[in-house]
Amino acid sequence: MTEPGTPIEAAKTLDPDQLVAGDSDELLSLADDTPETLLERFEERGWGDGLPLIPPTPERVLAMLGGADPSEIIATLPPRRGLATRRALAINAVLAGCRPGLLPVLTTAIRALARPEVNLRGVNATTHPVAPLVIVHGDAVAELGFNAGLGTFGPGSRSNAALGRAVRLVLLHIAGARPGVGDASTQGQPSKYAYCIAENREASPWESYPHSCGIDARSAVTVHCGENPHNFHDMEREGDPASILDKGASVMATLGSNNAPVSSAEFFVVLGPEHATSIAGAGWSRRDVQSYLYERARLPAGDFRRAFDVTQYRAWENALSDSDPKPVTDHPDNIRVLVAGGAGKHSCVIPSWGMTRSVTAALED
Amino acid sequence: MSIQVFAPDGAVGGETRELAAPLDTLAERRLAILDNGKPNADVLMQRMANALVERTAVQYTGMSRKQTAATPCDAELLANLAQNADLVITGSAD
Repeated sequence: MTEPGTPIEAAKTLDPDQLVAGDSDELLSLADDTPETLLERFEERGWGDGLPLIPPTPERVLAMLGGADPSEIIATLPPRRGLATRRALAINAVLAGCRPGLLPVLTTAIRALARPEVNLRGVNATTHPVAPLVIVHGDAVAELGFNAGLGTFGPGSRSNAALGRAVRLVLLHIAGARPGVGDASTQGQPSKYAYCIAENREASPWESYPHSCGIDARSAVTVHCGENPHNFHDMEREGDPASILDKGASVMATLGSNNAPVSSAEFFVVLGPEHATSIAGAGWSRRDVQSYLYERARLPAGDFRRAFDVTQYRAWENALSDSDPKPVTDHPDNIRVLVAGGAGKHSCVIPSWGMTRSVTAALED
Repeated sequence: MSIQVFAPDGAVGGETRELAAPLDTLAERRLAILDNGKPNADVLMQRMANALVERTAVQYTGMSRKQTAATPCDAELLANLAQNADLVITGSAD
């Protein structure tokens, strides 16, 4: 029984013609409204992510749209070339368990993922386990119930989990990135279920991440296609920046990342608030963090050459002798620093897939 | 209680393209290789090209290489291949 005033009840008072499917949207009839029936029907069609789903009834989808134009095409998603209309995105948002207010975040994220520099076709189809991480910034974090503090990577926050899952369902269904069909990922990774966090602006000692990218907006969304986060912690030196970041640099300087043969690749470094406070308290800026990690995250050039036959390095990197320390990324600007999480001396590194760039965009209405 | 739900995948879009017409013969045609950068792609495709040269009168013009298998081919390279080859061997594998 739904309560009066909820989105479902509100949708029932709207014009029934608005509930009619679009030209290309298929309506399925289910014998009953149980979760099991929906799950089994979707499994037969090769849909879903293996977890229980919320039935995308016309009423729920209409409520999710919130009056927005359902037929607007946000993006065409590879490899299937599926049309991500607002209606199609709303359907997947309902499936994932999103509250109606989250649709603009999903729309912004999908539009960002479709940008050429992301290389979504490669991200979806590769044998690498890469998954898009969505980072929500600004006023939207509190307004839409995202968790930027303790446990931001999960579990526990409905907005973080549902929005991350909605992105994955869009890629599965609309983009056609299904394991073995459009997604050749050898092993996958847990973040292919849901991968969404929020920036902890209140705990950050520096300007917000979007502002550092030149985005001047109340709220914003970043998409970064990469690996699962790799934790590093430092509790030994009373917050000495070098001690903290040397561990982060150690995580970055690995031959096991797809960034290793692609020196233009990005690393996202998500500092926990305590680490960020210690580093900033010692007078370090975000740029100082980037520069220090650039200097410290290095391996002998010969190690890269022995490990990889095919590389994408700049000419100056190829000119290094085998014993010269080569940075794992060719510029400090490729090291993207932000603050998220709660209490505790923990941070993490998220290497990219290599042949992709992150995108930050103002949150759409 | 029966219900109706939307399918989650939506329509497929984008422009459709026609494939180039197949060659009626390989004799005197220009054969090129586009190495996509995957390990041993050059070895495999060179052997294919050698076999075609041996069995037909196709003329092998050389091998070009994409920067990486995971990104689209450089437009200039594609244009060059289109201008200087009648048949291109390419592909992808891990």
